[in-house]
Amino acid sequence: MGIIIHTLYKSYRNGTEITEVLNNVSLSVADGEFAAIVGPSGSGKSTLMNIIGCLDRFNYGSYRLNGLDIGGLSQNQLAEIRNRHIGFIFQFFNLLPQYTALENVELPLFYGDISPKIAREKAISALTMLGLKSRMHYRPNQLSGGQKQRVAIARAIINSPSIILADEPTGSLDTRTGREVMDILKDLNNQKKTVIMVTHDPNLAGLADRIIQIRDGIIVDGSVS
Amino acid sequence: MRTRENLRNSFKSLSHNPLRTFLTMLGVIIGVLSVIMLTSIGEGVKDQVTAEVEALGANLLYIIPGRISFTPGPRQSKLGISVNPFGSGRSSLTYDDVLALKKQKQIAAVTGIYNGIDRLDILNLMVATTGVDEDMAKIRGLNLKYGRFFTAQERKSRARVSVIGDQANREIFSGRNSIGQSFKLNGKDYRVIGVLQYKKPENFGPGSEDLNIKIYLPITEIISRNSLPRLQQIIVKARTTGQVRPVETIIRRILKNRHQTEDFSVFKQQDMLNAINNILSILTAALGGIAAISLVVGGIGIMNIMLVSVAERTREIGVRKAIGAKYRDILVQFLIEAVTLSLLGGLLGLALGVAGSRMIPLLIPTIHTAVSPLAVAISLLFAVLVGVFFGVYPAALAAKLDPIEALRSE
Repeated sequence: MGIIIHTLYKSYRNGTEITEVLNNVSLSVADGEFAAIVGPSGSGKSTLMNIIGCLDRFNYGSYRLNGLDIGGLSQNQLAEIRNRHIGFIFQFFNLLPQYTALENVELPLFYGDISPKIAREKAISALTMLGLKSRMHYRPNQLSGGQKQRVAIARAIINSPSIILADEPTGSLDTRTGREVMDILKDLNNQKKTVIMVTHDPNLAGLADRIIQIRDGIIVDGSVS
Repeated sequence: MRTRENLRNSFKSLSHNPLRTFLTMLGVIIGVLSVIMLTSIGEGVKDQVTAEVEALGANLLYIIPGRISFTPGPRQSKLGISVNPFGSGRSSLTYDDVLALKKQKQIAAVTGIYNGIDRLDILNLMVATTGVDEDMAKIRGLNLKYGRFFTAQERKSRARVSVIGDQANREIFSGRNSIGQSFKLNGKDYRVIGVLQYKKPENFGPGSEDLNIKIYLPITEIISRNSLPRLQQIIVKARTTGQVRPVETIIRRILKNRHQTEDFSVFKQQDMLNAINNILSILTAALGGIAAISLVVGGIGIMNIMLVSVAERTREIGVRKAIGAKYRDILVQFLIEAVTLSLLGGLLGLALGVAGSRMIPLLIPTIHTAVSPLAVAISLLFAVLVGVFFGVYPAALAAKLDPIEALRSE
């Protein structure tokens, strides 16, 4: 189970110019691991993460997630996988501004066809767990950066995904709140969730069990645990 | 559930920018408003005309001399002059026809009309006189200011009595109660037995005549001193509106039998009404159709704003896709938004349109309005269809967005 990527290629075409982003990438991440993907900007780490998160497609190679062959799936099937198996945490939170914290957290449950009553209960308990019970009716612009990221984490875990993908999760936070967010990720990892984090900060990467280094589309270190 | 989320979302995003939402709806509001107002005026005019024509008597039948046919018969050359066109030639209707019709029990009342010209001595003037039966009062619903109408006895005895209109009474007797007094026609005395109440002249319908200048004489009296005893018209009143058709059949049978040929035409008030109503319905539909163009313009406004909204919310669409929204979810979300805009606009336009059509008669009392449920249903349905039609393209555009590209957009 877990994530198994084999000889994966990804390139973008921009007019006549073809940019190779991932070049023969093979990687496996076991269930319950905490891995950090590091590399300079433009190295392809975000693309790799987007492919792992079933947001992006690849040109060649194979990707199996929890035993499922991702390469052959339609957009709608990918949407379902993202909904059930993956929780995203973004650098800029990506909360919907017109929704309250509670409504933001409920959203994945609606796309998973969970009834409104159960969705509300689950969302309240997730926010409570993350210490945001008193803030659940606030809109994102009424929350601090750390609070926003905690709402985003609540949204990521609400559907009990097996994998959490975090793209520079502390990138727009100060050191102290960034530390708090890292503690939460660590906690989630302790609850047997796979956590994959993209960062360019070696200090943060050091908190992970394993560091995958990528440069110019090639994994230079850490492809196997 | 997805539907609930979609509804919630559309209300949230519409209430997020109320001014923009209102301006977008304005096109549809004005469209529905004008459809409702214009059709209500059309319907109002129709009701008014119907009421006025029915007031003239929906159970009346008019028999006119001459066969009127709108299509040439078989083996008839189009070159020749019509044998007996309406209004020309000699009338074939006689007073005996009236007497024959009087015997039918399905016929409530019948009168011949004989238009005479006599010299009114006191004013030294040729005037129009009208010879009628005693049933005329019943048929026309005549109201008398003074006195009474003729009796059957007076008609049978060719009595020289007269019922005159208000204007006639004013000119001959300077408006006094003239019952029992006499005036001279062609040198002979006629006793006034009734004066009609003043009635505003009517402008349309077969009975369009100014009652105020009438000088009614017993038809037998007027025929007896004229060389050409032919009637211009016979008016028959059926007992009920439902009996108009059977009575028409009876009239045709009796007169055809008497004349050996169908040299007359029968018109029903109902025919007139149907013709007028048909014309008015076409006009109303045309007006509504023109107004509906503004609804389409409103739809373009919706499409425009939906495209802006999709562009503005590209990132949101990316986020929704990242957490599991499918193609259909995004499509439905934006479609519901477009339909909500058009439906809300339609309902507001409906409310304003109904209020407006109530207002019009208060401001301009001569115009009557009637909101037709059909126009309401059609314009609302059309508004929603406009929303769907102009919402599909922006919604499909949003649903087709690539999640990565959408997430990257600022």
